Amino acid sequence: MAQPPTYARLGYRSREVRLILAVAALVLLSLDSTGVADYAADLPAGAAGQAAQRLAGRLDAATSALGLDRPRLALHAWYLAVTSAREEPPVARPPAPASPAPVPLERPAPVPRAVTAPAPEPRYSTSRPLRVLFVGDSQVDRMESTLRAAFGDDPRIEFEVDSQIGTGLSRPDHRDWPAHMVNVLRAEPRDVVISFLCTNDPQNITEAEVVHKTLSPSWIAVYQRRLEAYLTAMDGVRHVYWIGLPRMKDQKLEHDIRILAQMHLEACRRHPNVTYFSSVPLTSASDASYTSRMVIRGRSTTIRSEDGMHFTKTGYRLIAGPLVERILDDTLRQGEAAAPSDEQDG
Amino acid sequence: MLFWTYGFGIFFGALILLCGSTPINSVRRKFVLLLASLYFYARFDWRFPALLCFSAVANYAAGWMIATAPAAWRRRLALGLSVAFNLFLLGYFKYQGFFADSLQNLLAAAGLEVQLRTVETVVPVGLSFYTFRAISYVVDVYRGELVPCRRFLDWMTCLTFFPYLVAGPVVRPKEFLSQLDAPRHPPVYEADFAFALIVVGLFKKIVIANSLQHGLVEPVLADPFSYSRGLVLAATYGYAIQIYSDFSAYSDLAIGVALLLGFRTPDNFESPYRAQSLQEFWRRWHITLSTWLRDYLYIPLGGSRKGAWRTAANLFVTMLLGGLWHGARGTFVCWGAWHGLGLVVERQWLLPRRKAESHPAVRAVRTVMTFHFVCLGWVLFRAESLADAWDHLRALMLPRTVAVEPFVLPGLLWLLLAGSLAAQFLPSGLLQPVRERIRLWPAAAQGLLLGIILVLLRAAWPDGVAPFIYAGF
Repeated sequence: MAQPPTYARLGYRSREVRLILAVAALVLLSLDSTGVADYAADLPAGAAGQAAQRLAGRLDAATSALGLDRPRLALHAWYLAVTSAREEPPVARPPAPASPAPVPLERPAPVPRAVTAPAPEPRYSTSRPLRVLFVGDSQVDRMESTLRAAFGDDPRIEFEVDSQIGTGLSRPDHRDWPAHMVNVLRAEPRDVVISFLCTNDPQNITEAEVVHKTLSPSWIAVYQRRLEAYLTAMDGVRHVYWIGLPRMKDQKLEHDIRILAQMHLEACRRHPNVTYFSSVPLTSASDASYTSRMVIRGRSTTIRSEDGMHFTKTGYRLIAGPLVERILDDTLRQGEAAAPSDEQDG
Repeated sequence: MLFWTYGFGIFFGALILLCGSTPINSVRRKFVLLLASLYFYARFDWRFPALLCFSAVANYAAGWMIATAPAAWRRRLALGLSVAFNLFLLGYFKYQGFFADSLQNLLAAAGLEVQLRTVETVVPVGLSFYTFRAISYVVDVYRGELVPCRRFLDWMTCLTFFPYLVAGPVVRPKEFLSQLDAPRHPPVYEADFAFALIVVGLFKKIVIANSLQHGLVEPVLADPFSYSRGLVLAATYGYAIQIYSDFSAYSDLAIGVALLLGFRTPDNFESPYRAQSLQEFWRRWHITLSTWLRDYLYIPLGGSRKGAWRTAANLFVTMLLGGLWHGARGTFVCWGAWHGLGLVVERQWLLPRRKAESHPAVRAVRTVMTFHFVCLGWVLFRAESLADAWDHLRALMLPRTVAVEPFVLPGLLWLLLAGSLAAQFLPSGLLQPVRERIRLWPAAAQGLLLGIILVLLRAAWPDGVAPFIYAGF
């Protein structure tokens, strides 16, 4: 009678399981020290967290010096490149300058700044349409169709979108928004830019191998510099509308987001072409707190998605309607009474 | 704490060390597992373990009351109260807003403007899963299929066991408790199978589900009218693959992690898209929930024992409630109704006419039709509202009158889409010979291989991986 194969008679003893896990962990620590350092940087402040960060930092420095992290990083870059969909807007663009040089974050090449007294609004027509660009993160992806619908099919409006999920001002390694905006606006000027960005920003910032803990004084300094660079990149745009961050369901995130929103509001005030358009009064409960439902035309309707960060289409419509009205007042309906300022945030 | 994070790696490594070589049924091991599970759960929200413990205490007491009650009516009363308690927990935390909204809208349609007050609550992660497990415990005790737990520690370890806590599988206590009591010393593990499941689970989640979600499904379905119908169709298929990969990945990871701790878990998926009928689909998709609904809802309702119409009604109600179980949203209810209706039609009219032996082409047509029926269901499942689902369907059918966005889907994503569909038809146990070969390697070499595979998976790690879809239920 044939013997069963050896493996069928073998089970793993607990010490073998431990050895397998230990060796696998060692390989991960050696070849993915960057990932370990990222994880350590997110640990809560405290003695243990700081010790872990120091240890992870040393490990990262040592393995980077040996070049052990290069294979994974190269593979990661390749993978992102081969899985990213290529999207081009349908409208014909003027030819972009050949390989625009990347612009350093701190000093983006300035697009001509708006003169102190704004030039009169041009008469928009089908031959000289109002060029609107909607930029930001996943909020933009989800809001795009709603905003497009709110603009209607007026042939005098040319609407484009430029978004990337999971980006913001904290992670220029993912997308360097200030530099990106300089390049985008240099390639094709716009009359209106609508920005809905920064929901992902409450996270540590790594710059020059220094990890700045979220909302620490050094983090705020770096963040404000980036925010200023982003807004400066749009100085040549006639109208910039900054959609203020809404209430968040998660209390910790909400706390951080409100601090960011205040910084955004103050930064917007320094740029005369930027209008801060707060989403809080439009999408919050009567006491300005977070709510997932609102009574709309007599029906209780869900306005927030289950993650407590994004909105349902109905929720995005609550923002898009007044925003588009405001934009049309400022541009196409020049001469009509301007809408009151929205510079208030919870 | 998600399975793919370094945080989980440290947590799990520490747990393996703490469990050491102690027998599966030792008090020390159970205690360590219990504390670890509560810690794991508290990482989502510190209030969640309190509710879980409350549920555990109530159901433990109910189990004993049912088992020891002298009269049948008392046993029935205890069972009724405990099931009502579990359903109340679900209703209060998960459905109160939905029911209040629905009632309010219904009254508004009748001309009555009523503002119902609801309490804004956080839905505890995994509530639906552990509540169903608790219900199966008291029902099994009532039916005499399970002796109530003598030790409270055993029951707590069972209900809180962290691999199953967040998104299933819906492992019944009778399947788990029997393993908890088995004296196995020293413990011997099926680690090769466990590691294979973990690697496959991570691949499905990180590479397949995540890449399709961010590269195809979300960009296209966020604004489907801006893209060609072909692309919307590809995104619809993409979502079918995404949700399968996402959910089965969680099951693979949970089963693998549980196996490394010494516990076997029933299968939860078995290539569902190769099914030739809806009935078969539900035998292959979320098997632990399907069988739970069959045993604790469909059969108690009367099953197929009370005539054709009653059977149809039972099927429909079971699927409707199964849909509602997924979340407090009208589209989930409609998704359940869609499947309920499909099962009724299939059972009453289609299956009786089927020949046992059919031509392969006929079988292929059946598979394609079943897959497309399921895909249409996913349109409802994914949509936030019926209007969104309708938009999606219109975008699939209506020709475009304006220029669509040129969208070049990378070849790798096409490959993932087609490969994932083709993989449904591969024979099961394909990796077994490889695994058996690797099993003969020294443990250190196996660890090296595991580490290299994890590094490769880390290379595909995006900057943000969405949580598991089913963790929201």
